[in-house]
Amino acid sequence: MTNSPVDCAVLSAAVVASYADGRLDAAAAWSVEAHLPGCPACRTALSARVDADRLARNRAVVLARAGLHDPGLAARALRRCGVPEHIAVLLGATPSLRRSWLAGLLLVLAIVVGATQLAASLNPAVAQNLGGGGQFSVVAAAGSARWLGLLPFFILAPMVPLAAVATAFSPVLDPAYRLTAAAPVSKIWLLCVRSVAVIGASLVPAAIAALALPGPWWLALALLLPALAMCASALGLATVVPPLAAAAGVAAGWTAVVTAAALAANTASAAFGPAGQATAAVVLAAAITLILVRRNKIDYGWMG
Amino acid sequence: MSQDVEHVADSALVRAVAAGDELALAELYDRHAGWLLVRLRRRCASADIVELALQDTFLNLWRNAASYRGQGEVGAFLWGIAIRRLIDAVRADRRRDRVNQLAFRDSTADRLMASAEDEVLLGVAHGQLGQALSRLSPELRAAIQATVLDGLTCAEAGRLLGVPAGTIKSRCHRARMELREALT
Repeated sequence: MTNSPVDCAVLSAAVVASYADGRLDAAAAWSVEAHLPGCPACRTALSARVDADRLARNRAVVLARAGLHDPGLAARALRRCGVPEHIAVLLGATPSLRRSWLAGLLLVLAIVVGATQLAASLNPAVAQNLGGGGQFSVVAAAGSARWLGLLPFFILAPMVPLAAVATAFSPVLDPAYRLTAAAPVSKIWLLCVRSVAVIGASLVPAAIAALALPGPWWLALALLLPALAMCASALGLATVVPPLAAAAGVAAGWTAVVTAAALAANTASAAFGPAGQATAAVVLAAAITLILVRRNKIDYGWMG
Repeated sequence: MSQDVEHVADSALVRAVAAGDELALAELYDRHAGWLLVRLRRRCASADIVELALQDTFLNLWRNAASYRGQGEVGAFLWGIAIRRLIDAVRADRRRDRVNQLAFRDSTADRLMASAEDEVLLGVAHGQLGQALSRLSPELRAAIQATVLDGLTCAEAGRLLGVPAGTIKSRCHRARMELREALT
């Protein structure tokens, strides 16, 4: 960097340069610092000696954080619990962790559970079909069309975390998109923090909904592995195809598998039996391996 | 504000920021971030903490620009925010790890050996005061710098330097005594 001429009668360009490089002794540096706030020319000369990339990077973060307006209730609560500020902001801005999203999720689950309960009270065969006595599948006594009413729950409930993960990656929905893009952290770490928070927050209501169903208690646990396997698959596939396509593909595949299994076994919960759980575990392991192998290819919309 | 923002005065930009103008915030950043960064850097050894303090300075400005009363240099106003954001960032970092990785960036060691060429280049009056200052111990000089030059209270200076406010007070007192002795 050359000494640009300073349009200032008090300090020479050389003094400003020495100050910027930390070569001034205390007394001289103090003189410079007392002079700076009132002298635009010296400030400009000094700023020209700062690494432009560094300034630009911080500028992007400042403008992104300014655009966030309110960090939100969740972010403030997290910060008070000792979570570092940047993680709190990141989580607080995740679309699927916002209050409106969680409220919508609760509403959908409530409707599904309510409809199932209603069907069960009108028709005892439906409740029976949900599986009793700890058995993984109970064949409907009669009238195979009745259990079809339960199918939407078994398809939708495990997909709740998947939907949460998919929206967490949308640059359109993410108010912290620019911030995340500029954040100097590794993408795999960002992926883990956000996914774990999102999956955790959406599994809880899904599990509660499963417990509210007139079926056995293990139903809530049986949702877990398929849900995790779908999230991991979507994240893994997103290293190959666009994230939204990956999520949609996994959702379509899941719907097909559950429907096919239910039709074959003539019971709605067929896909959640031992074979289904084992398959989910294998898919989960494969998806995690895929993510780890292709971690350098991780490039979701919000990661810039 | 969008039409040539470059020719708008700093104080007008601060008022625009108070009204929620992001362009004005960006322009103020472009004008002031550089020198604030250099000045902050002289007070903290960690580049990360300094950058965080710089970001927080402009975010604080974004949220509290209305507190600028329109009198005094915007540069001095911004430095007042910046040095306090630095104090907060330093404290948060100390809380995170008790190992105090921050040394108050002391100038003496390398500064006292400024070459003769530099001395000539500087052209800054190096009278008795300069000599007296450089003879002060680093702790006393840091206390004086924080309270006199940065305009901090004893409590704020104590937080920045990681010592109790009372210690700052006594260090300032001792520094004044030594300076008076050296100058008379």
